Order: sequence, then C-alpha cells, then structure tokens
Amino acid sequence: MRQMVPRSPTTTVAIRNPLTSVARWLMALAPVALMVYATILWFVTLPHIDLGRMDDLGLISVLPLSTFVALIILTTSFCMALGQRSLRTWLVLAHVVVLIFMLYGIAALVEEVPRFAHTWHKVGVTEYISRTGQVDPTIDHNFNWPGFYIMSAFMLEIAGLDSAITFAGWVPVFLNLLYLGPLVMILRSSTGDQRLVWLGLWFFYLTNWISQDYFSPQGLTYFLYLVILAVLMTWFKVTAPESTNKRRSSERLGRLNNLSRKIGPWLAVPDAPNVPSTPMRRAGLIIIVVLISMVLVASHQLTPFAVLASISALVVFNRCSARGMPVLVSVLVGTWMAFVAVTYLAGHLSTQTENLGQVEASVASNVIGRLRGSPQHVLVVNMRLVMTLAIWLLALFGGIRSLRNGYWDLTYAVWAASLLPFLVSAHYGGEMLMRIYMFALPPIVFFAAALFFTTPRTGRSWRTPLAIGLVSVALFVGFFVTRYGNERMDYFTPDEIAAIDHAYTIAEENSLLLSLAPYLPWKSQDYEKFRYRSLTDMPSGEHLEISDLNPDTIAKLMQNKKYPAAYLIITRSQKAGVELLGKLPSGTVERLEHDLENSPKLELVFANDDGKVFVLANRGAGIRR
Amino acid sequence: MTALTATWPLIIAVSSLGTAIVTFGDVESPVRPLIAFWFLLICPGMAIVPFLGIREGISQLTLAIALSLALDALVSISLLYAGLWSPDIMLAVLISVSLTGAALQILWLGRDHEQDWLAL
Repeated sequence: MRQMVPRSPTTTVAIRNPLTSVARWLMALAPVALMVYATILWFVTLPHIDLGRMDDLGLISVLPLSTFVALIILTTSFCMALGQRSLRTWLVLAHVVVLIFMLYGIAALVEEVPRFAHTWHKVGVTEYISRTGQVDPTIDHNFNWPGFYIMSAFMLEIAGLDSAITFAGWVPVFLNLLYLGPLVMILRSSTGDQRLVWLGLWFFYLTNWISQDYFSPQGLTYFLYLVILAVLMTWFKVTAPESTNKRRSSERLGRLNNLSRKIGPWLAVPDAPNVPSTPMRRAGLIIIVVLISMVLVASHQLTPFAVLASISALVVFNRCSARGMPVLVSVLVGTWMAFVAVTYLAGHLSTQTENLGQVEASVASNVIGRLRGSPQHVLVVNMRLVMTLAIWLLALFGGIRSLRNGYWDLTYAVWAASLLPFLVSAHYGGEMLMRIYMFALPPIVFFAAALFFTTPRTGRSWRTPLAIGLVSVALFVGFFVTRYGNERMDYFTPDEIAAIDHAYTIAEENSLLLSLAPYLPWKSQDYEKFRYRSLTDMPSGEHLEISDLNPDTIAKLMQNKKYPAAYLIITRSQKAGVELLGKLPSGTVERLEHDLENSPKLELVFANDDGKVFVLANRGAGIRR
Repeated sequence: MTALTATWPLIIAVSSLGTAIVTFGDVESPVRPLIAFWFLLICPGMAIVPFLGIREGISQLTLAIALSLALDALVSISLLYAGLWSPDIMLAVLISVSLTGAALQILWLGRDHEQDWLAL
C-alpha cells in the first residue's frame, strides 16, 4: 500500500533560470502589463453591450468579442504570474480581484437597475423591518429566519440610506470579494503550494455561477459557512499524536475487522501544514464560531444544515478536533426551529419533508423539471449540467492524480461527500442540486486545481499553463451562459420600475397586485400591505389553465371582494420569462395584452415601453403615460 | 509573540468617533454610508480578534469581518426581539464594544505578560 502523506509545507523547487536579469525583469512585469491592458479593454467594451438585443441565451448573446479577448489576456497573464519562479501573492491576488469584477460586476455596470426579482423582494422584507421595527412570522418564511434582514435594516439606518436598492447591484462583487478571505484560509489549510491555492481560487470564481450571491440571506450565510470551515480546518486539525492514538485504536479494532485495519491509517493521516494554536486561542476561536453559528441559524433555513453536515463528517472521520461543534450547532438549530420558526414549520412541515428519501422526485425537480422552455433556454440548462459535471470531473481526476502521488486530502473529500445526502432531502423548490454544488465548491476546486499542481514539482512545464488557460477559457464562456443565461428575464429597465412605482402610488392598502408571472421588481416597498398573485404561478388549488388567461377570468379574479382594489401589472421581464421558460405557448402573451387593452372590463391606467398597469374598468381614471 | 499593535486601536477609536458623529448627528453626506459600513464591517471584530494572537493578515481580517457581522446581527436581533428597535442604541452598544476592545489592546500592549497570556 502506498504511504499516504500530508501535503508538504515546503514549496521551493530549485530550477535553473538561464534568463538574463533584464529578461527576468521584463518577465516579472509582463503579467502586470497584461492584466492592466485586459482590464482597460474590458471596460471599453461595456458601452457596446445592448441589452435590448438579448435573446434566450442571455448576456452572452450581446457580449462583444473583445470581452472574451480581455478575459483571455487576463487568463494568460494569470498563468504567467502563477508560473513565476517566486509567486508574488499581490500579483495573483490582483488577478483574482480583477476576475471578480469582470465576472460579477458586469451586470451592475451595464444594467441601470439591480437585477433579479428576488433582490427586490429581499429589499422589501428589509424595508418592512426598518419601517416597523418588528418581524411578523405570519407574512412569509423570510420572517421566520429574519437575522440577515434585521442586521441589514439596522445597517441601512446607521448609513442613512432609504433602501438597500441603492447598492444591491454591487452586492455580488462585494460578497465574492468577502469570500476570498475564508477561501484562502481553507485552501491553505492543507497545502503550502501557493500555486494550488490560487488556481483553486481562480477556478472557484469561474465556476460559482449559482447566483446566490445577491442581496440575500444565502449570500451572507455562505460567507459565514466558509469562515466556520476555515477556522475549523486551520486551527482544529487532528494533530499527529491524536492520530497515532487513533491508529492504535484502529489496530485494536483491526483484530476484529480487516477493513478497518486498512482504512484506519488512512484516516489517521493528518493534514499539513499544522498551524500552532494555544488553548486560549482555540477557546477564543470557538466562541467566534459559536457566535457566527447563532447568526447563521437565525438567518437561513438551509445553511446551518450544510454546516452541520460538513463539520459532523469532519469530526466523524477524525479530521477535526472540535468534537462538540456538531452537537452545539444541532442545539442552536433545534432551539430556533422550536421557538422562533415554529409558525412557519407548523404550516409547511409536510412540504418540507414530502421528498425525503425520494431520489426520483429529487432528480425530477432539480434536473428534469428545469429542462423546458425555449430551445436556447434548454441549452442554458444543459450547459449548467455540463459545467457541473466538468468541474466535478476535473476534481475527480485531480483526486485520482493526487492519490497516485501519495496525497490523500481526506478532509476535502469528506467535506464534499458530506453534502451529497442533501439530494434526497427536501427539494427546496427544485434548487437543492444547485445548493449542494455551491456548498461543495471549495473542496471541489481544490481537487480540480490539484490536477494541474499535484505536487510542488509538477506543473513546471509549458503544458500546464496552456492546459490551465484552455480550461479557463471553457469555464468563463460557460460561466456567462450558466450565470447570465436567464438575463432576459432577470434584468429590469427604468420603465418597468416606473410602471411598478405607479401601481404602488395608486394602490390602496390590502389591494391585490396581480402579475402575469413572478419575474418583476415588486415587493420592495410596503410589502405587508398588499396581496400578490401571479397568473402563471398561482398557489395550488387556484391554478389557472391557459384558456383561463383571458380578460373575463382575470377581471373576475380582480373583482374578488376580499380585496378593496386590484391592479394588473405586465412588464417586459415577465413576458421574457414566460417565453424563456415555456410557461405559455408562443404568441399567448401578445394576444392577451391585445385582449386586455380592448376589453370593456379593464382599463389601462399606465403604459410605457416596458410596463402596463390595468385596473377594473369602473375604477380607472384614464391612461397616464 | 503578539498580534497587538497600536494601529488598530487608533483606527477603531477614530472610526467610532466618525460613525457616532455622522449617525447621531444625522449628517446627510455621501461619505456617511462609507464611514458607517467601514465601522460596522471591521471595527467590532477588530477590537477583539487581535487578542487571539493571529499574525497572518488575511486570517485576522477575515475573522474580524465575520465577527463584526455576527456582533452587528446579534445586537440588532436581540434588541428587536426585546421590543427595543433603536438603531441608535444598537450602534451605541457596538461602539462601546469596539472602544472597550481598543482600550484593552492599548493596555495589553504595555504589559510584560502578553506572551504568558498567549502561552497558557
């Protein structure tokens, strides 16, 4: 059996350098010059992006070729920086930061208002708390895990800002910059090879297409999740003496079980480098982890369970010495659910647990159910599956290559594997596979990077940067398809905002705000004062057939006596979403709009290029443009 | 070896003062959000993390931001559920924590038993 060894903290490998000092100086400067050039080139391409011409492939359909040229140049300079004899941390860090801005900041720079309907909804929850100073768990699930919203409302008050919409467009850049710190700690916790660390980071940002890094509880709690894992993996490793004891234990067991005698030594191999820590430091760090866990539990439904699964697996497989943490996190989760989130759980327990253990149902909601819509959208969904498989395959090959070179990296393998059982837990609105992908991404990119820099001596030939470059190009092209593939429905225009603002201006409290589909920037103000319905996304029991989408049925819905008034809002983004996702046959929306405008039962009270507001005919006061 | 220096206590003190002025004085200025977010994201955590003796900058900063966010959230959540929704009070609590931590750092800097503390 090959001796399993920890990754060595030493990375210096003596190589001959025949270049003159001038040539070496030029080689050191070249990545800087290329990075600056790539950044400038990328910036000057932005004004040429015409969002109005987007098709169902999303943002990539309107990106100029020069955008990709800029990314290729940046990738080239990154590979040069990575291959330098003395890796300059500031240089590779600068490349990663520029990459973050290029990939995650492009929407904020080319779109006039923050994208993504969910962003506006989260802003509305925050606004409610800021305005009323309380939470009402009966409104919706957000108010049962309100930690993020409470903190955000507080911060907005201190900053003197009226709404989080002011900066929501830049939150993805901010959060991804925030993820840098714990990711560096995580990747450094098991290797001293800085090339492996920075390539892992590079791959992380090229493959983090899930779009949960918007103004949301998940965006923040993902950062806290990374910090918890970073702390435990850096300062709470099982050290060699403990692992020796475990080896003795496994040898005793081995008298009874041959398999455990073979596996035991493998489990006992400690990760390196081992950062020294004193009992007082460890105590302080545990207190910090506990405080972070408390915020996690109060802010998000799913992330605490991801933390629980990850750290439990690390403890069980003897990779983490903080053995009380799984119990502590369990107690925190149980306490919150029993005393605070009980209102929501009491009404939704069956929907949360109906798919437990149901592999077929999980695959159906996470994969098959998404493979519908326009041909281009189906291509986008398939690309998401391909990108997922691609990075997991790179990780698999990286893991195999590492094993063949004597590196077990059990901690990362255990961490990644610990999240797989979530696939057969609650379906989470068909998003569980994406969440598993996101939570498992740090260990996955470690193994993917290890494919290229398996040992301190590998990856020194010209083939490695070429391979990294080719993989990176494939990944960033895929990134724009996977992350921004729904952009035609995710982005909003000022005209759409104007239409919705008009509806809020004229709507009475407790009115019904009705939309064609839920892809619009509403719910951002006075959230609790209105009732919201979308014709193509009605609650079960109220589902509408396509034949029901006519002025008479819609008018009947709006005449419901439980609402003092009703307002139908139709926007460009809703129409785009309905077509993109295949919710309605082609031409249905245009016919419906025409019928609505000519119906004697409804009156158009507001219209611009991208939005219309209808009321019942006996209420309206004429068109306002 | 210690990670305590005089730099961060000074930054925390100045940031606390600046945040107090712009917030309690209800100053309307484009720099108010910058000052407020800087304080809320960095200072409460940075008042405490140096005591852990972690010398690596990125680890220190990461922990400081995470702890700052945690303290911001826990203070605001606690007071909201206690029926005391008052951002001014919440900020006062955080400024108190920050200044206390900064003061303790200054006090600890001059003490000979820093290493004894960390060696426990």
